[in-house]
Amino acid sequence: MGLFKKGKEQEVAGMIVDLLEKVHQCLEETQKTVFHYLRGDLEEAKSSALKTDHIETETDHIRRRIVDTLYRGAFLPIFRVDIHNFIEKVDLIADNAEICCDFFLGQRPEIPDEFKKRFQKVIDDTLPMSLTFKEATENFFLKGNHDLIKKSITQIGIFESAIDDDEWKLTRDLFTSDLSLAEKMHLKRCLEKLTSISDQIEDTSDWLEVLLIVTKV
Amino acid sequence: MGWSLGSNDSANIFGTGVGAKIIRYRTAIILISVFVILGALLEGEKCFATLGELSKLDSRLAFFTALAAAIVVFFFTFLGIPVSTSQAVVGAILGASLYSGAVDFSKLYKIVICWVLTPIGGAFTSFFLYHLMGKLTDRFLKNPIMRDTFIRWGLISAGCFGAYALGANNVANVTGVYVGSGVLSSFNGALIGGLSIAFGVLTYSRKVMETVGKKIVALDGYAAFIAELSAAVVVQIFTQVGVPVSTSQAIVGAVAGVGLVKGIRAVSLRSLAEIGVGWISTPVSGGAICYILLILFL
Repeated sequence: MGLFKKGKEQEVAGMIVDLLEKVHQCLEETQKTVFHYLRGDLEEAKSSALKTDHIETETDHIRRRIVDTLYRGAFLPIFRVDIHNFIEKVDLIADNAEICCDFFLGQRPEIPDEFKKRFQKVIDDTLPMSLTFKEATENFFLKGNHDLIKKSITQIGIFESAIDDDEWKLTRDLFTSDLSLAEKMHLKRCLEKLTSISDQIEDTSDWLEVLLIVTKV
Repeated sequence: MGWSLGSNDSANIFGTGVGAKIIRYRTAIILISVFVILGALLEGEKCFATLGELSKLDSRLAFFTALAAAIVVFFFTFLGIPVSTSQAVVGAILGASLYSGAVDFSKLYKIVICWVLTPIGGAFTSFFLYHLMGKLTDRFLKNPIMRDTFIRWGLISAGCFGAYALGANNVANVTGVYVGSGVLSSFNGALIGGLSIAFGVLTYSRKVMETVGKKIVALDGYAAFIAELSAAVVVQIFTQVGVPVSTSQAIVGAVAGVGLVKGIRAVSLRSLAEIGVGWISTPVSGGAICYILLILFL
């Protein structure tokens, strides 16, 4: 239909899909970084961290292109600002992933064997959360199935609650262990870096809900 | 008069679109000009009759009537007070009729009722259109890109419709007195009036359009579309009745209607007070100035 021809909006939607794909790849590399680090394979961990860094740089480029296209007239002005805010939040997911990798390789936290699986689980559980968010956002910009998007946002909330629960229990077990206070504090910070990614995904999904609301009359 | 009307009232039509960068200023003024001329030529004569019924003026009285109305519009605009050309012209005609002793107040009630109903009609129309089209939009346009495109094209279409309604309704304000006095034929009156409004749009509308655009753009795109469409519908209805009305008052009413839906104060009490004061002050000023001019020069 001629009325709905491709324009700047379609271009922005395409770039948002690319951005989401890159953010998800960034998290996959972060997961590999943590996996290799916990196995003691520092070379592989560095390699994955470097990939994370490169992908994060690409997400920055895509974000700038989206913002540029937005303010060249894509979408109505009142919606433009909401999309801009949303994109900044999406980019923060990749930023947090990069910071997490930097923490592991820069500060080399010593994680006792009994806690390794639980640290790995935190980042493993973040991946399906990211995938759900990616699908929901793609659906919003390309199809607009509001019911499905709402279900996905609810699902993201459930994922986040599970990760929060794991974080709370892991924190408790760390602080009741025989580790020194310095080690406990260091591992707590490490855990916070890992959970910051899922926190950011949930925060961004809240913004997706805002977009859903503002598109309604 | 036509130039002044075109330069002022074009802001009511595409101020939102230009302010929101949905349409370029140059494209907007070309579209307005084309549709104003079309409206004037196709339906302009409907309002000529009402002004003609108000009083029979000869060519000299017609000239002073138009001059008095133009002075009122210029003076009020200079002071920054919103002014309706329709009300200035009707006031001036009444002034000329009083001077010549051929005044017929019986025709005035229809005009006054239409003036009062213009903002009220704008408010009611936008209130109901907002709900009705909102349900349809939410149901069928869930994809943000399609919705955005619909609102963009809606704003542009409503703007074209608004320009057509402006030409059809307000051309009588420009050349109605000359058509009524027999100086111009209906077609020539519509053509000259339409061209002069278009000239005002093309040469001196940027400042007003940008100012009004920034005020109205505070509304979201959908609300702005509904407000523009409602104002155009109301003005077009009054064209069918044959009464020239104020497009500015129609848009103020329409914005208030949208504001009522959202539960916000989209229109200030000052705007409403200005409309009320304008109903009295503009025609009285037009009549007084015309009467004084005629005493001085005839």
